[in-house]
Amino acid sequence: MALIEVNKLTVRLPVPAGWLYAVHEMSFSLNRGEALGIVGESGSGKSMTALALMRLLPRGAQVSTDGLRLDGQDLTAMPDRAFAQNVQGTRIGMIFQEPMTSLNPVYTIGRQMTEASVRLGLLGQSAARKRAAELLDRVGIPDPAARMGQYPHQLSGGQRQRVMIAMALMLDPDLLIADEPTTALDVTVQAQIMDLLAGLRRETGMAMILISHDLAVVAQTTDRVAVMYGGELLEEGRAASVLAEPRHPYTGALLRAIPTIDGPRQRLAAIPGIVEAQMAPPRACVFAPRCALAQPQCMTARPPRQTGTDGHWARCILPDGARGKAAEARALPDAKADASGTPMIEAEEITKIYHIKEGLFGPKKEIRAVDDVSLTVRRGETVALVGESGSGKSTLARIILGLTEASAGRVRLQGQDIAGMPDTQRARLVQPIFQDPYSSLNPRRTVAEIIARPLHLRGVGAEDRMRRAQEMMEVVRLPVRLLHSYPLHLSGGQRQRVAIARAMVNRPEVLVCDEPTSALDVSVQAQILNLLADLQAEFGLTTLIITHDMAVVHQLAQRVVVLLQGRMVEEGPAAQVLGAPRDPYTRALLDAAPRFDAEIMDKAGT
Amino acid sequence: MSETTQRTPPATESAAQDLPPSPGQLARARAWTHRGFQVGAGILVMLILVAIFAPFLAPHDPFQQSLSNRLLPPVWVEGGNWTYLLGTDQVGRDYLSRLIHGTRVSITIGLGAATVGLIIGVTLGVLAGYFGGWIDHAASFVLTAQLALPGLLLAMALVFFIGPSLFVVIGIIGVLGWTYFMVVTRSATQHIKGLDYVAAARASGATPRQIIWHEILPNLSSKIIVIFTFEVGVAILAESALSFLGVGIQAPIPSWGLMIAEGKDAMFFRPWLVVLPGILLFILVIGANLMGDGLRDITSPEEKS
Repeated sequence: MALIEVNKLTVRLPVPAGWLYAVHEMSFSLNRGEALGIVGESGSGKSMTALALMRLLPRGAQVSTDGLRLDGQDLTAMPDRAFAQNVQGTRIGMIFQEPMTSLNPVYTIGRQMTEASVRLGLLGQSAARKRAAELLDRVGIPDPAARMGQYPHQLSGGQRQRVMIAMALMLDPDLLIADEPTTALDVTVQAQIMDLLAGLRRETGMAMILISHDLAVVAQTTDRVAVMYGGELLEEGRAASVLAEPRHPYTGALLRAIPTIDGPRQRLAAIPGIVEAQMAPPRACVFAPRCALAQPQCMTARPPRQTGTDGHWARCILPDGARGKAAEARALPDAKADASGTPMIEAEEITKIYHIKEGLFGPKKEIRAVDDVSLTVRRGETVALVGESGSGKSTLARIILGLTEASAGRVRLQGQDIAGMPDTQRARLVQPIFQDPYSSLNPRRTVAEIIARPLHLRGVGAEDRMRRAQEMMEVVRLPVRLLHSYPLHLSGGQRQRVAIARAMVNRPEVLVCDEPTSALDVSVQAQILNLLADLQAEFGLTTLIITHDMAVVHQLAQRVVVLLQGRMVEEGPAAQVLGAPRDPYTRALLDAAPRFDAEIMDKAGT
Repeated sequence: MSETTQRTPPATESAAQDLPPSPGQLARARAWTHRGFQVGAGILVMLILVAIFAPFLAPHDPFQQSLSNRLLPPVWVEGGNWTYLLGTDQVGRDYLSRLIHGTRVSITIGLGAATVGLIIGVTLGVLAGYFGGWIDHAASFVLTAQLALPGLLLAMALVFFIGPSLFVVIGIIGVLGWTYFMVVTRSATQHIKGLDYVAAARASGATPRQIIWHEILPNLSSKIIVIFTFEVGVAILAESALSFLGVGIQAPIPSWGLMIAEGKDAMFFRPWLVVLPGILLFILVIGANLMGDGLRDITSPEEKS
C-alpha cells in the first residue's frame, strides 16, 4: 500500500480578479522509503501542493480532493485539531526554503528542537534533549551540546538548514517534505545538504517529497520526478527516464534551457513567453501557449495521460517520436577576445575594509570585503567573477561602478581614473544590471520612464526619449505595448529586460552584471543569457559578469576570476579554469554544481 | 536571435489592448470598496464644503450680538425658537452661525498645521535617511529632543510669548507636529536607498537631488498622505485644546475649542453650549482618522492586518 496517495487535489486561491487555480487535479502516490521530486518553475503550484498536504495554506484558500490518504487513512475527513496532533510534524514533516526566517530568533536551538516532542508528550524533557543532540550530531553540526544553548543568529545559513532538518526528524516522520531546501544556500553548501538528505533517507527509511525548480538537483536525489506547470502535473516517471527521454515538450524544453558546464557553447533553447496565471480550471493543455509543437486541438481539449513503459506518463497528445525533439542547437559565435585589446576596466590592488563597531563603546572590528584584488577586462571581452556569498564579488562590482569607494587601490575605465571622473561621464562608460528584478525598477514609474531616465538625466528632449525607449524595447525583445505599463504588471524576465534596456540606452562600453539571472526561472534565465550573448555580439560590449553559477560562466565568459573571502584564488581562460581547475576551492565549486552527466544518470537508473 | 522574440499567444494580445491599470488606478479602484475610507472622506469633504461656503450657509452674522436674546436654548429645548435654531451664546450671538464659521478655523488650522509639519518632517526625514552620517545624527537628536518635550505645554508657552493669532497657532502646532512624518520617512528612505533602482540611478549619474525627487519621494507619497490625514486630526484637537486654555484662537473669532471654554461655566444648566461644538469636533477628527486608516489600507494593502 502506498504511504501517501493524493487523488485529484485542487487548490484555489482568492485573488482580486477571482480565483487562481494554483493546483488543479493533481494526483500522485508515494511508497514508504521512496523519494519523489516535484519540479516546476515559480508559479507552477509546487509549493501550494506541499502546503495543502500540511494544511498550511494561506487563509481563504479552497482545497478540494477526491481522496488524500496517509497509510490508508483518509485525511480529508480529519478535523484540524486531530490533524495537528497526529499528522502535522509527527507523520509528515516539512522543511522550508528560507533557513534565515524559519527559526524563531528569540529561542535557543535546543528549546525549538525539543518543544514539539515534549508538548506532544512523545518524549520527556531530558530524553528530548538527548535526542536533539544526537540528531544535531547526525546532521553535521559540530559540538551539538553547546549548540543547543545558542540562538539562530549565531549559526550560518547552512547550519540553520541542518538544524531545520534535525528538527523535522525529531518527531520521526514517515514522510518529509522539503520545499526548495537548498535554493537560498551557496552551491557548495547546497551539495552537502542534498547529500545529507539522501543519507538520512537511506538510514531512516522515510519517504521524501523534494520540491525544487532545479531539475538537476531533483534528479540526483530522487527515485521519481514529477514535472509541474500551471498547476498541473505534465509528466511523471523514473528520474533517469524523465531526464533521458522526456515525454512532454515542456520537460524537453526545460532540459534544453539549462546551460551546461562543459561541452561546446551553444545558444540555449529558451522557452518563449511567460508563465500565465490559471484563472479558470484549465480546459486545454496548460503549456500549449508556449509550446513549439502545439497543435490546434491542444488549445481546445485537455490532453489525456499517455503512459509509456515503466509507469512513465505525460499529458500530451503528440506521438512519442514527435515530442521533445529540439531544433538543431546553434553554436554561439566564438568570442573574439583579443589579449592585446585596449583595457576597458583596470582595477588595481583594490581593497575594501568595513569597520563594524559593536555598540557605542564596543571594540572595533575590521572586515576585509575585498582584499588586494587586481583585474583587467579588455575591449570585447567577457570576464566572470565567481564566488559564493561573502566572497566580495558584489562589493568589487560596486567599486567598479563607482557606487562604493574603495579603501585602497584604484579603478580606471578606458584608461581614466574613476576617482574624480564626473558621474555622467562614468555613466556613459559603465552600466550595471542587478540580480533582483523586483528591486531594480522603481514601482512608481512606467517602463518608458524607467528606460528613458538616463537620457533624461543627460537632458535629451521628451520626443527623442520616447523614440529611443521604443528602440531599446525592440533591442531587448520587449513588446512595445508594454511601454506604459508599470513594473507591477511585468514578469521577472520582462523586468530584467527593462533593466537591461535602461543600462543599454546610453550605449555604454561596459556592462557589469551582478548575478543577472539567479533570481529567474530556468526557462527565463535562458532567454536572458541568450539576450546578453546577442547584445555582446551586436554592440561589441565588454562585460564583467558576477555569478556563483559555473554553467553561466561556461555559457558567457571567456575568462574567469575566482574570489574566496575577498581574495583572488584563481584566474584564467574559462575553458582552462572549468576544465582543469588549479585551486582546490575552484574544484570544490565545480564539483558542487549540479549537473546531468552520464555517471549520475547511471546512478539514478540503478 | 529570432527564438528569443516574445511569441505572445493571441489570447493575451487582445486582453492587453486596453492598458493595464497603474498603481494609482488600482488604489482608486480599492477606494471605491473601502467603507471606512468612504465615510471618513465623506465627512471631511462635507465639512470642507461647509467651511468654504460658511457665509452662505450661516443664517446670521456670527459676530452680531443681541443682548436681548442671550443664552437662548436650541429649538428642541423649551424656550427655543426657530430664528435661532441652535440657540445663542452668552452675548446673544447665533450658535449655529458660530459653529458653521468655527469649521473654517478648525479646518484651516488642521490643514495648515499638518502642512507645516509635513514640510519640516519630510525634509528632515528624507535628508537624514538618504545621507545618513552626521546629518542623520543631528536630525535624530532634534527628534529625540522634540519627543522629550511636553507638546501642549510648549505650545502654550510659545503662543504666550509670541502672541496669539491664527498664523502663530498654525505655525506652532505645525512645528510641534512633524515628528511622525520624520520617523516614518526616515526609515522608509533608508530602505528605498538600499534598493537597486536607486543604485541604477546613481550609476546613470543622477545627483542626490534628482534621486530624491524622482526615485524616493514618489514612493513615499502614499505614506506621507496617510500621516498627513492623521496629523490633520491631531492639529484640530491641539487647536481646540489651546483655544480652550485661552492661548489659541482669541475671541470673538468662532473656534470650537474657544466655544467649549466659553460654555463651560454654564455646562450643567446649558449643556448644549459644550456638547454641540464637542460633537462637531468629534465628527471632524473621526472623519480624518477614518480617512487616514482607509488610505493606509488602500495604498498598501499588504500592510493590512
